[in-house]
Parts: sequence; structure tokens; C-alpha cells
Amino acid sequence: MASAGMAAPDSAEGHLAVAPAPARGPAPAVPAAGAATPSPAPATPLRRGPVPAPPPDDRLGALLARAVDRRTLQRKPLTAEERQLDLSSWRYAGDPDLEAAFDNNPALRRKAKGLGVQKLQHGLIDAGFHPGAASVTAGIPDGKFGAGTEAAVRAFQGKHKLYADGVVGRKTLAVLDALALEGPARAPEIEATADAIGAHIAAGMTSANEGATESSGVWYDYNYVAEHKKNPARYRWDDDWRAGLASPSHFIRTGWMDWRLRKGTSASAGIRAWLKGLTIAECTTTIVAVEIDALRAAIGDDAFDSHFGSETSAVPEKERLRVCQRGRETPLLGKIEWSTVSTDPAEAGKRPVKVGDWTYFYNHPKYLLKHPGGAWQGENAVYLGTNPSGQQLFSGLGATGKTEDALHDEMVKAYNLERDGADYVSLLSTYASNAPEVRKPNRRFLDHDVDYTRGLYEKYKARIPKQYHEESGEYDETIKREDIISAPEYEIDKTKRKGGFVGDIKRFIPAEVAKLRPVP
Amino acid sequence: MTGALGAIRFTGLRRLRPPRVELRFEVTLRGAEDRRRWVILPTTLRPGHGQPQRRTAHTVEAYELPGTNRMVVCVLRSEDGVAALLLPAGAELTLDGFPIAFWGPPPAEAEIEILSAAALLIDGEPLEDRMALDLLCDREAVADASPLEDQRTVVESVGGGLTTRMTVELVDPSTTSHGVALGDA
Repeated sequence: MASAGMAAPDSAEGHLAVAPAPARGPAPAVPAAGAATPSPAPATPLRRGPVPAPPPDDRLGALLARAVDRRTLQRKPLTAEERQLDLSSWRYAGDPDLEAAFDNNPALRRKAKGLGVQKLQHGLIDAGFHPGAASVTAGIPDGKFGAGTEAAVRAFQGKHKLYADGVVGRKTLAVLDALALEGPARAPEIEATADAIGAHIAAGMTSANEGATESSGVWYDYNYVAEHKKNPARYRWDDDWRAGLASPSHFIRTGWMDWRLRKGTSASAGIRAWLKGLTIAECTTTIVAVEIDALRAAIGDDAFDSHFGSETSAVPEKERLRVCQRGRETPLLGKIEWSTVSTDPAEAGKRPVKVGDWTYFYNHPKYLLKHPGGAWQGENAVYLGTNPSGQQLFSGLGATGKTEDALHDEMVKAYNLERDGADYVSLLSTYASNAPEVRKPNRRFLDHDVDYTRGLYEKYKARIPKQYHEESGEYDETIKREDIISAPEYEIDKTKRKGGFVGDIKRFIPAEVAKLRPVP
Repeated sequence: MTGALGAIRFTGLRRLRPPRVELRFEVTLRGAEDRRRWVILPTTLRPGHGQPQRRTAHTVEAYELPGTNRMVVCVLRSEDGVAALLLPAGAELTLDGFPIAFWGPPPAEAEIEILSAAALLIDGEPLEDRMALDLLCDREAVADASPLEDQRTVVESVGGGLTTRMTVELVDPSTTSHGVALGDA
């Protein structure tokens, strides 16, 4: 029985829960002066012959009235005027089954199947009502109106104060259509200019550092685990997430911090979902995601989907959206220029950067000897512009609005920390990977317990290169901030590092972005 | 915890780039009865390390915090920075969400030192003379201190540079120590 405040069934008369989609049919003729004004297409409530309301205490009467009402409506098509209204969102408009359902002719219900049902399932998923694992394979809904889809429709209807009968007709589709219309813009949101793209990147990086909750935001695994230990019921954790987590509905994780868009999934929805979270990642992939989102905004969702993954058109796997640390293996390939600028390493505050530039600052060149599992070998940072005092500011994941000086302060503090469990786990995983305690790690190993992992480090020390040994003297136990830029270049794992600002600036090439924009 | 210079209460934390966390406190500061005086708070917490009375800074930055009445906070940046407020006689100020960085899993309780000084000298010169901004706070003020974590709101700065070192000296310093429970931080 419908509860108070709930609208009547989909196929019944009554007020729509939201304004119906605008009419797409021919516009009514303008009446001649003095002529009778024709009835316009209904803009708000759709009305049908009145159904007498039963007395409030007559439950049987109410049930009968509803049953009669539903039967009547399902048999009675909408008037010609009512049929002038069509679905109008990019997702549903023009689909014959859905347009028919929008006219209750007939409504979609259990056992229906086809592309229209698949679009309905996509809409339900985007609205947060998943039809269940049995209805979705590799991220693609099956297009079959089964029990899971019916349950999702009922839940959706309940949420939107519709009659929760699991049948999709005029009113349910009106709400879904309105949600799709209200959803992300499909056209470019910003100009394909260096300034507009840069501003979007800067805003995106700031946004990535705000508002994380147990079910949203971009998190470092270390931080999420810390919250999980305090409140395991609220912050559910899976050790597998140490390698990364991002919207499983949109992505398959194919490696450490490496995600590929599922087949039949919208790339624009995917990158939004990645940034919305819950996502477990680190600083580099977060900046890659922010940069990809700037590309999406500059070319529009439609064009982005057509190039990098769509619900409705086939995009080859190798071209589909990928988010990983290696920017050149993502949609950024060819859209970003990796340019090296020459600059005095000590001249902080005067870097030749533009808002949105992706920059990098190395910590002390030997940071990784002391902290092989540390997160502070350097700082991936987006340039934000200057503050009222004229200081240049940068942002990375977990650090918003920092001067280069402040970044150096933090890198010094990170260097001067004692080694922790993550450092020992990293050494053991790299150089003693066949040790039984590493091959089959226990909970203390997985939790990076410093006492336990340090014990294993001592046990397998002979396998670990001497420069990593704490008594080797190869690295200083503590440093001062001046040491970061004064220390000579040092090579670890075939990568030479020199502390401080790396004059390797990544910046969008507007002309390449413009090529992907839709032609007006 | 309440002391001669004021009171500090832990109100929450924010996790930043690990293992760095930002502990947030409600801090109430009381000025001397008969003269203006600097009050100095740590911006990084290091258990077992009190605040040194001689130190260096590479940059001094001023923030005008949003809230009721005027409150200016100067952050003296270094590996272990401090925040300094110039309080008029009889002042009582409250800072909501004052951020203090901590590196690693926070302890259950922390000892936080608050210094006060008659003068704060930068390279031998009063800090007030180095900044093109009136640094004196109003006698009563309540402000949101969370912008201190984000340098986008800096309105005035001196110094700066990766090899800069300015000496910082406190004249006639005194210290109060506050034990603060950090709850389940």
C-alpha cells in the first residue's frame, strides 16, 4: 500500500515527482488573434479522469480503487497531447522501447529485454541502485529485466516517492530522464586553452584533497588503514586495496595503481567516479586522474566517451581509458608536452611555471636508501598560482597550497623520521621475496609491524644490498633543508636523482586537445 | 588543559600525506594584564622536544584569520615552525581548529608548550618592524585557524628561499606546558 506522500503508480494519473521532460515534438501553432487558445502540451501535472478517493478508513476500497486504476491506465494510452512529450536526455531519448514505456504503451516490466532495458539499468546504476551482480557482467548490464532489476526499480521508486511497483512507465522514466539531464554536461565545460585547462587542473587538485569520508575521496592506503584500525565497521578494509581501489563498476585494476575502464562503460563517468571515490591511490595516479579529467572537461563527455570508452559504442580495449602512473599510457599521450626548463635549483619562488603545470620536487637524493618504502622520495605537485603575498604555491595529494620552501621543510621531516615497517617490508619484498615470511605474509607483516619486520630485515640482511644497511654509512641519518639541493646527484635503481625542483614540466598542448573537441 | 597562558583542547585530526597528520585544537590564549606580549605556539609536535628559545626561520608569513574581530597569526617557517601572535594587554583570544602537524601515529597524550615573550626579534629586529602589516590582535577575538595549514591565505611574508636562515630570538621568554589528551586520534 502506498504510504503517505508517495505518488500513485507509474501508469496512474497524478502529479509527476519532477517536472516532465520538455516537449520534443512540433511546437504548438501560435493561435491567431482572437482564436481559441489550443491546450499546450502539459507542462506539469498529467491529468486523467478523476478517480474517486476512497474513504481513509476503507482499506479494501483503496486497494480496489488502485487495482482498477492500474488496470485502466495500463489499457488506456495517453492522450495525443500527452504523447507529445518525449524523453529528452542523451541516455534515453529516441529509444523505441523507452519512448513507448514513457507513453505507458506498454510500461517496461519483468521479463522485458533489450537495449532499452540496458539503458534503464545503466541509469539505475548511476543513480545508486545496482540491479545486482547477476545482471551485470564485466561492468555491462545484461539488458534483461529480471528480479534484480525489478528490485532496483522498486528501490529507486521508493527513494523518489513513486509507487514502488517495479514497473517502469511514464513517471519513473520522467525521473530517470530528469536525472540524466541534470547529470554531467555532455558538451565541453571549458575552453581548450592553456589558461582554462590549467585552472581546471588546479581546482581539481585542490578538490582531490578535500572532503574524504569512509566512502568517498582519494585516500592513501596508509591513511585509510589507520582509520580502519580505529573503526573497522565504518572503514571496511581489504588488504588487496594496498595495490589500489577505484570504482569497481567502472574499472578493472590490472596492476599496482593501474586501472582500465570496463567494456561498455562511460569513460567520462569512470574518471568522475575515480575522483569522487572511494579511491585508494597515491600522488602520481591522482595527478594523472586530475589531468585526464581536465581533458574530459575540455572536450566534453560525449567526445571523451567516443574516444576513451562508451556505454553504447565500441571502443577498442587499447584505446579505452586507463589510469596509471605512466601518463604516456593514458589518454594524456600526445596531449601533454613534457618540457624541460633550465632553472637555478636554489631559486625557489621564481619557477617558470603556469597555473596547472605538473611539476616535481625531489627529496634528498638518498632518501630511498633510508626509506625504501617511504612516500616522500619527492613531491608530484600542481602549480596553483601565487597568494596575495606573491609566493608561488603547489599542491600534491595530501598537501594543498604549499610553497616550495614548505615542501622542502616537509621532505626534511620525512627524511629524518626513523625507518618504519613500510621500509622494511619494501626491502624484504624486493630482496628477500622468496623468504617464507614474505611469500606467505602474516598479519604483522601485512600491517607493517615495525618490530616484526625489522626482525625479518635483520634475519635476511645478507640478501639486501649494503647501501641499504643502517650501519653502512652510505646515507646520513638526518639532514638539514639545505642538504636537499646541495647533495650531489645519486643513482638508485638506475635512476639518477638530484634534490629539489626538477625542471621537467608537464603541460597540456591546447591544439592537440582542440582536435578532440566536437565540431559545432 | 588550562594554564596561565590559556587552554588547549584536542578537537580532531586530518590525515595528510602519510605519515603526516594534522592535529586540530581549540586554543584559548590570555595576554598579560598590563602590556602587550607575544605568544608562541608550535606548528609541529615532537614528543620529548620542548620549544627552543633560539631558532631560525627561512620565512615569516602573516595570516589574517576569519572570525570575530581581528586576529593576525605569524608563522615562522623552518623544519620545526612556530606560530606567533601579538596579544594586547588583557587579551583573550580563541583559535578554532589550530593545526599542529605530527609525523606518525599520534600518541594518546601530548605535551604542548606555549611560550610567551616581551619581544620577538628576527635577525635582531622586532618582527613588527619587518612586516608591512599591523600585527597586533584585537583584545577579544575568536577565529577559524584552519587556514594556517594552507598558504593560499598568506597576506604578507618576508624571507623565503631554500638557503635562507633568519635568526629568531625571544626576549624575556616564559613557558607553560600543557598536557593534552588526544583521545582516539
